[in-house]
Amino acid sequence: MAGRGVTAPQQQIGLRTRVIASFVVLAAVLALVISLATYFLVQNSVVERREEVARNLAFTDARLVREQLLDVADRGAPAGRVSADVLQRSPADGVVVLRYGDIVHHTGSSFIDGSFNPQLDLPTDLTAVVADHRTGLQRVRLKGVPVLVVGIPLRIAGADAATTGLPSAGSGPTAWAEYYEVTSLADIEQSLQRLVIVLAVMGVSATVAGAFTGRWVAKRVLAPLVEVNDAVHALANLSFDTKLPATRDPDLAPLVSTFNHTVQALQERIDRDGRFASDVSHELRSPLTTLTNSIGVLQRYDQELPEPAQQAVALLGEEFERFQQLIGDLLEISRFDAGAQRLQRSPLVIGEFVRHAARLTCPDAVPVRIDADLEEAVIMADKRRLVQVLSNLAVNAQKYAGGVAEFTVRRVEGGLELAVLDRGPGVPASDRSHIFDRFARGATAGNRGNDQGTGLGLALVSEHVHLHGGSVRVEDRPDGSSGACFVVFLPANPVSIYDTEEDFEAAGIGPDQ
Amino acid sequence: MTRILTVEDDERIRASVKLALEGEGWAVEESENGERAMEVFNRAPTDVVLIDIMLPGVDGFEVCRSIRKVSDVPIIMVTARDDTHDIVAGLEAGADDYLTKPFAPKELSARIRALLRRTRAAEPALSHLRFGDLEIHQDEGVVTVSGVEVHLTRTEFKLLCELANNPSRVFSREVLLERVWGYGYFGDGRLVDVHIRRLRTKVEQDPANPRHVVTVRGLGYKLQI
Repeated sequence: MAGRGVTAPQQQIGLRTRVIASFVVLAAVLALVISLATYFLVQNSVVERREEVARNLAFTDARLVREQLLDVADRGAPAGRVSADVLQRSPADGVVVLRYGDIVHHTGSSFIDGSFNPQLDLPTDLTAVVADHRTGLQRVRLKGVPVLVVGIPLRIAGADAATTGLPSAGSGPTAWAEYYEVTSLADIEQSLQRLVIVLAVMGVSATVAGAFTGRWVAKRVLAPLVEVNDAVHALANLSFDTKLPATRDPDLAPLVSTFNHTVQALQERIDRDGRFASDVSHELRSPLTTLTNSIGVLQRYDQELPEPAQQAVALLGEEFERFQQLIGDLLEISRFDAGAQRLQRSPLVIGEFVRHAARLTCPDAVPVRIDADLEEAVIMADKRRLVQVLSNLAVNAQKYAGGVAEFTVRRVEGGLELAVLDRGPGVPASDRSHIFDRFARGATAGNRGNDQGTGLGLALVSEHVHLHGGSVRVEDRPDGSSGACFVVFLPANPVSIYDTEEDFEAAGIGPDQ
Repeated sequence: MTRILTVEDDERIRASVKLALEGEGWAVEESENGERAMEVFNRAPTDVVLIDIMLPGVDGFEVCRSIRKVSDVPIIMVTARDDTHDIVAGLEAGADDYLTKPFAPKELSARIRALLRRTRAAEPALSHLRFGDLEIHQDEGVVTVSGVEVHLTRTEFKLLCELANNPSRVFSREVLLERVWGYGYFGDGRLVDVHIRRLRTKVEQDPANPRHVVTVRGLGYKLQI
């Protein structure tokens, strides 16, 4: 949208951004919810299943261990040996811990390193439960490995505490052992981690897809807006053939219809203004022709008139000339307003042209300084308008600034600069921006006593130059002398008259344009 | 005595122009519309015709074309609009020059004087020139292409002679304006362009690919040897 003239205030987020953001947020939230639900469902079912299996296995193993314990206990073998033997024969593949009185034995395992110490590493919550003769199950992390610990109290019925050295529960004859089976959950955790990665990737993908969908939707939704914007932009450039295509969309139809009506109304209005200017111009020209011819006849027989009548004729002549100039300028500027101005370019040899213009506009010989390579260079320009530009600048200098000091032409990037230097006091910085406004008069020009200007001269300079795609500015004289320097920049690709046909063609220069 | 016919529907302009031109010592015939203009023109020999484009009924272009059919008298079109289309159309209809209202009497008489000079201009140059199939007999005012005489207006003839007397020299539009029309440097280059175009339709076998009157890009025109 940038470059088409639409700029949102900086604090406000654009509609397009908001639509995309909504889609992104929606996609992200949905992905997050689905991922979390999936993760916890999978985790629960897998872990629960594993717990059930582990519990069943542990119970089976525990029963076997208990029977063997009872068996050896009956035979009066020493407890330490007994428990070690029993554990050797345990079918469990995880770590098995047997606490039998003060004696603790355990088997090793591949998934926990050798420093495993059952006394310290078994979770105390669980050992407390088992010590209370209840079965317990807990998921913990042992040495960084996720494990499931199942604890089962074993009642060694009938064992004689005195002979076996087994601890008795309380003062009763019954002795207890504690059996723990530790199962690794590393594989489950790994699977779950993998699941998390998959879900994360899916979540990110969904969010990105959301962003793309949002962009597409925004584009679809904003397409009419962009079209309207383009149309309005074209309208701003006074291109009145701009029309929005008819639409059946009930939300857009009123806008399209209003826009097209506005364009049409504007066009009619501008056409009317243009016709008015042209009609006024035509209507004024006839009486002006009669007046100028009649005044011409009066002036011719001037000598035959009495003295006061001669003075009156002289005044009439002067004032009529000024009036005619004003009408001419007004008509010219009204044609700019009506957008009816067209360039009529023809090839101009720069040196020749500027020297002629200087001679035409200045009564005394004024120096003309032209870059050597531009002296015999050709550009395409509207001769009539450029003459008016130089002549209005020269007239301005003569009326308000003691005359033209120098005309210069130099090559600059992208074109050339024509400058008119005067001998006046210069233009104060505060006046420089509006000196080219219509009827703007600088401080020195405020006095109307013998002011012969129309107040439109510099405005017309600006209009003519802009029609050429150029610009005009006023600055101090570059040589440091007192006076203003009016600089006209014209975009051009000057071609030397000695260049080839191809060079001329490339620069778009030909006599019949 | 030089006779000037002015065709103009606005009575006041007609009267003031008549006064101004009579002040120059010329005789002025008037016509307020196109139909009467032809009658007045046919009644007595006329030296210059001034035609307003906007006329009731038969318009100025039509009057210009009608006169051109029977005469190569110098014609000045007068227009109230500086509309390119009107000006070019007037020149295409055969006018030699144009003036935009409001014109000063001095300007008008200068234009008329330039046209009168042109008619009597006798070039002190070679009287007979030949460029391939194009032959120019300057003293007789005759131009032939492949032996067939072509009819040129006085302005076209003057333009061709200017080019032909310095063959291969490039004439800028400004120089031609000055020499043929008597304008200074800042005259309207379209005058030259339109007349060159009309000249080509008469002296070139293929006006779109001229062999005699050629364009020199950016500089102007020349007559090719």
